[in-house]
Amino acid sequence: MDWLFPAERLFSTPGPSIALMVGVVLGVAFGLLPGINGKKGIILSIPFLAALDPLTAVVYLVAMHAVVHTCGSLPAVLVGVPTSASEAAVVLDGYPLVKQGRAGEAIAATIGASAVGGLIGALALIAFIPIGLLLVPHIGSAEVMALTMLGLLAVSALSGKSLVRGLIVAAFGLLIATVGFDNLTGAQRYTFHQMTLAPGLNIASLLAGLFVIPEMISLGSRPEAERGPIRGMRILDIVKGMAIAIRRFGIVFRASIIGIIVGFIPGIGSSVSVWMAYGHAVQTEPHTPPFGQGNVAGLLAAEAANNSKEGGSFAPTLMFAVPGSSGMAIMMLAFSFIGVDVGPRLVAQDPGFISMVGWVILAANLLAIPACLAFVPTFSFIATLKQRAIMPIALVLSAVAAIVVLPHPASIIQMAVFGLVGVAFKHSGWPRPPLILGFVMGPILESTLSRTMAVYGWEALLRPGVAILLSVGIGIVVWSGFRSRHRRQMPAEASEEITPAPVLAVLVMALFAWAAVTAQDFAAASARMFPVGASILGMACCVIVLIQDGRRFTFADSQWRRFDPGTIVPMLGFFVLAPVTGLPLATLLYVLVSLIWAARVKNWIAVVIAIATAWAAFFLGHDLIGPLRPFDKIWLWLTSFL
Amino acid sequence: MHAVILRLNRRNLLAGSAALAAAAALRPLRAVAQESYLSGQTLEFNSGSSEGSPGNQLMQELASAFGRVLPETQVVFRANPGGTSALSAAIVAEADPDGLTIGSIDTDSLLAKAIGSDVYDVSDFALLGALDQESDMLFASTASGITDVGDVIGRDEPAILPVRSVTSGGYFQALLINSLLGTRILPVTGYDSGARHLAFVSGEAQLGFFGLSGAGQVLADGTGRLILKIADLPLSEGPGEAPTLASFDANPEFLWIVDFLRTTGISHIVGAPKSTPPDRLEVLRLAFNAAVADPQFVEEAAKLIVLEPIPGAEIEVALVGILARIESLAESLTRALECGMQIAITGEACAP
Repeated sequence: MDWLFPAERLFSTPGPSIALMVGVVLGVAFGLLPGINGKKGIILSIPFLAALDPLTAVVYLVAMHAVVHTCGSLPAVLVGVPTSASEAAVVLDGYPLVKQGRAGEAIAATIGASAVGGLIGALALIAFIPIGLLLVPHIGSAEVMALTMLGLLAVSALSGKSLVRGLIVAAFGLLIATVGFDNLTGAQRYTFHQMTLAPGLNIASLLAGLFVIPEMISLGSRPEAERGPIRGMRILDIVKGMAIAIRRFGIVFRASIIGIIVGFIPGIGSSVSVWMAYGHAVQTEPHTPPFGQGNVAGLLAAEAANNSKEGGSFAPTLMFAVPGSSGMAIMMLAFSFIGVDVGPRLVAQDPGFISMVGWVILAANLLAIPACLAFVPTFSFIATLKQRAIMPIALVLSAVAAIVVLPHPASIIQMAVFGLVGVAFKHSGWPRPPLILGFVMGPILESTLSRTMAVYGWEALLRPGVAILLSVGIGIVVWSGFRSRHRRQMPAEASEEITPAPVLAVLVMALFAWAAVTAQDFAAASARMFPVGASILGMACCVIVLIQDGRRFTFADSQWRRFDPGTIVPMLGFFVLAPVTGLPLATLLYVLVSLIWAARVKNWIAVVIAIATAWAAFFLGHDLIGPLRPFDKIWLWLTSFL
Repeated sequence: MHAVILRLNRRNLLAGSAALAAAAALRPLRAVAQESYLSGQTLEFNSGSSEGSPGNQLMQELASAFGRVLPETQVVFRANPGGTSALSAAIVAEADPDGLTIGSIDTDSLLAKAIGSDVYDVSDFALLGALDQESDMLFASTASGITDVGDVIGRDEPAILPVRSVTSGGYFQALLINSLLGTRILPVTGYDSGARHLAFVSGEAQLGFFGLSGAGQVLADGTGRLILKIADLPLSEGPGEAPTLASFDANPEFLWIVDFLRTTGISHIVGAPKSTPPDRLEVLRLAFNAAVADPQFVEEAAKLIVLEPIPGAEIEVALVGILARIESLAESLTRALECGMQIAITGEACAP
């Protein structure tokens, strides 16, 4: 049972303790800054991870991700504008409290419930380790394959409003995961003998393209929210709010358990856990005042579930290498980047690592309470920051992350290409998380599928674990089908609306067809099977979408004309300049133009922020790419005097 | 008061002599490196082993040792486990020959290339040195009920042996042993280091090839027993006794395999692009010699391998002989591999 308290690992050197504190502070900041969240927080952290030892990097990542939600809902509660489906449940009762002049109470109750939820989630993760240890000896390739398929099916079915679009995107993720050297035969696939493609696609470019760029463009196309003054943020109000969270521990605990269970099941996502917990509060708690008019039980339930699900979702990621959400998939990639291999072997050989993650989540949530409270005076300021001023900086830091992973202009080009893909998917309502899951789980699925067929053949389907997992996957798909029909009749609360997009479906189908044909040239026959299989699945689903969309599409559906030139033009300039001039100079010009043109920031403030961002880009990613690289040359010239 | 007992074995002797050698090796290195092209530069160290595997751990330790012996050089370690270590080899082979990119090279690619695979092999690099001469050991999982090699001959079903890829050493070794001894071992690809161990623990695989570090783990958790040594390489502390390949009455057509597998055992080789200028190669070789003698590295490496560094120039001479043999044996090698696969799948012996 030594693994239960891995104190030596955490405290033998100062690195992990410092990483814990830095992770908490940055996690709180990422949660509060408009437009940044846990996923983007991980992407933005990649440049720093390369400089850390694996243990310190893990502690930082876990601590940062664990507390992003602890005060992440506060800006939304304060200004009454939710930016996600899960925040909507918190705002429902949180904002009425703020309007009643009880902002301090609302803030403290939110922080308290969130922290308690996080603590219970962390304890659940630690408690799950003995079960994992019992399960591991019974997990063979067939079970891992079935679990991977379950994760992919669940995320495809549940992350958007259309199963078939989810499957297309997952197949696309599986296909692009095959770019590079094949792990089973050593054959090159879709590399065109370019060394920049040999290691596979740049994950940081992929993430930035899929998530950061579409959010920026979408943000530019809608007006910034109106924000008024915030009242009722005295210390006494905050103490009152904390007391409420302690007094109503029953609902906080029950909502946390709901969050853990939902977090453990791949693909269900945070919004479901939050709304389920909110629904539970509505059913079990007194309606005084009515829910939706400032009932603190609704706020507590939603916030506790929102944070406790983190512990639940870490369990399948760490123990079986099956991330249940795109956030966990990105976390798994970050672990891989720093050389930590998660999965059953980790449970068997180093259960202390998993309990360490649990303890870090626990400690981070405890530290987050004072960190969040310390931020209280600045909440009103942060909540009024312009998202348009923050997003260009987020884009630059994402580009730095891409350059750190692969110091080559190709990283910027990949980022731009996946930006186009992300924008097209977002504006057509195609879910993006299955792409990340497909990309992360593609190599696992390919190798386990190959191993399963070689060792068990079709008899694998008769193994109890495989039969159960695949049945659950099929059940989720069927349920998703019923849900899709039901949803068409009522306004949905969560993800993007689907817009008929036959042009996108045709383009993606053409890409799948090209991939299947090109695969015939691969050096090894067995290297062709997986990409061809993914392409056939993708093409079949594209045909279904074309039949569905062809009937409903009109050119009035097109949303391209809504794009804001103040966002698009500087961004295009950045993508053209960066591969030529290097990142720092492109950053300087891009941030300056964006802040003045799109965000309407005062000129002198824009100049200061642009210089600081360019310096940060140089400091973190150096001036490694582009034939001009003036910063690099200036730096060398300056240092030659020293 | 506790008496300090110094165990006089090969590993301790090596560690002691290495510590002495470190001081001697560092002096000329410092003189060269401080004035050399490496000063103020970034040296990229690539490894093709899977993350978390002993091979990757070893190379990471070696990269750190390079950093210690070259204090004015920033050493960046990059793990490129994709494509059965072919990716890492390609990155090093195709890098600018400026002496700023080095990496671990896999000897398995010699065999893959001999049967027609389009991969870089050790002859495509300028070699800095190797860490040891290692020979895999064949283990049977405790759950399989296999107690010796005889139990793997004439089985109804093939015994599953997990390997990383079709270019892995284990893949070739399994098929060559089949053709030599008539065993029915089926190498199944797609298992990296972690999955291989899990397959062994879960009973999915009956057999497994392990080096010294992997063997230690299998024996420690009681999941397997040693049934065959490929070659009788000296091991100061090891997993115990087992017959070697040479001790069996083997198929005379393939007797060359016994000797062949013994001579290709040089492992954990580090190389640079082939056309690296001689003066830069000399600096890198000096750095390698100093790094493998670095006391901290010696201590860490001893947990994973029997560290016996071999200089790059020496390997290049040995390689000439090995390459000549492989070339002359290419046809026979292809036949032996086909024969091994036939026995594994059908259980039928090969016609001479």
